[in-house]
Amino acid sequence: MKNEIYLDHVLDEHLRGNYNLEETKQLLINEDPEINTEEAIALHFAAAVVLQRNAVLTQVNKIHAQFATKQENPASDKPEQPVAEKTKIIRMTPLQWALRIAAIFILIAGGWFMYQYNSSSSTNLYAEVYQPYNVNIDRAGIDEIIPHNMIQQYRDKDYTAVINTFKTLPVTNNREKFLAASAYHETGNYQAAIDILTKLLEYNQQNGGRMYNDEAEFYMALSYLKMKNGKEAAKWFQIIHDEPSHTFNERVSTWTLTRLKWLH
Amino acid sequence: MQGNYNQKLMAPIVQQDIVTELRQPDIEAPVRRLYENYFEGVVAQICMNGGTRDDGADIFQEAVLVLIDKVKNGQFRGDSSIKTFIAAIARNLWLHELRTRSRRNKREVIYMTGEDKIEDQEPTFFNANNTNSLVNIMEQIGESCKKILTGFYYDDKSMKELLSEFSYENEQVLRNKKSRCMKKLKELLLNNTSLLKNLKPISLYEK
Repeated sequence: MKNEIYLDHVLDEHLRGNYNLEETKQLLINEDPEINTEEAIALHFAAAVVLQRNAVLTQVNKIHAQFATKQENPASDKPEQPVAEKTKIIRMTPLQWALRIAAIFILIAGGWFMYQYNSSSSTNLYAEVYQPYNVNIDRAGIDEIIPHNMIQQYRDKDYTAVINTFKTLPVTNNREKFLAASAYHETGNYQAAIDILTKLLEYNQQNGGRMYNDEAEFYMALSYLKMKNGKEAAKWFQIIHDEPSHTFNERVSTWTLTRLKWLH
Repeated sequence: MQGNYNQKLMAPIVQQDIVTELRQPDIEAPVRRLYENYFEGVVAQICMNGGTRDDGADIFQEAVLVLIDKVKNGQFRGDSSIKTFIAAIARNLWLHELRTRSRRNKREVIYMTGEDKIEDQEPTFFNANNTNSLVNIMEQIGESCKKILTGFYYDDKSMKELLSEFSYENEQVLRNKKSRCMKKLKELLLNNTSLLKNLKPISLYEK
């Protein structure tokens, strides 16, 4: 009966170089006459190779697993996609470009419109349109005798004095009416300003005159605006806007009128 | 394939040390240094050439196994740089993989004209099929057989050394166990003709 342990021993010694091929074959046949020596040697050799490679593979796998795991951690290192997939190139047709530009334009226009709409308060509009009245040019005739200091008081911005002087006058012309109305306006008494300006404009209408007419219309509109009466303000601003030769025409744009309409 | 290898905070590679250490049975320390120094570079190169990080990791592992085989067989003595060697092996393995995939996908693949090109890389023993078979067979022979046989054939331990390591009554009992383990392993190999065929050209490690 063949001794497996002995056969293994002979094959091991051959692997270790202690027996050459012929010696090995002979010893194997001596122990097992029916043995296929070539096959036995080759199989033993293959088994030893498997054991050696597996030992190396096991150790490398151990280290590899640590590094491969590190790669899979999204917080560390890089993603696992190939570079070609990472840098995705978006190609667009001309239509897509046009739509994209249109969308951007709509967004910008929408944002601007919303800003304008939200900022279209009567206070904001007033601040944009308002222009202080300056009495730099004396419209009185050279020979006109002025029995009060109203003009100088207005130049000095002493609006209370202007109003007080106006109240003492038994009869008033358009200039005195307008300066008084403007003084009321500057001191915040807009209704009083409107009342005086209304009289001024009625007087002009009755007499076909135009003295201080443009100023009266402009400050009428401003006073209504201050009183948050957008409808009346819009009416007077529309008159100014429609008359290209109006003194204050340039102060009232179409856009101003549009925003005025949002107020009422 | 010239990798831009990041060597920050890594143990420096001393070529001859690595070669010497890889000749020993315990190779974990030198293998770790190889991974620390060269893994990222190889993976990056594979990624730049159409692979995924998984592809890069697999290729690097195979290249390291080839290097170890060459060192243990005395075919790599440190005449060329380990870095160059691994990069070249990896590149050729990846080239081979691309060709295989190309044939599979029936389309052309144009890839890499590197300066450090070595001869065409034949499929190595450590391809996925062989390593899977290897692991499968070793699992079937059982843990105790694996330890005894690995101790004897890889660690080159004597029966006396193994006896002191394992709790067997005497050396004869251990020899019996080893012989039974080898018989089982050979039977499994005979049942895996593909693996057996691939093992034929493989050499045993030098002692």
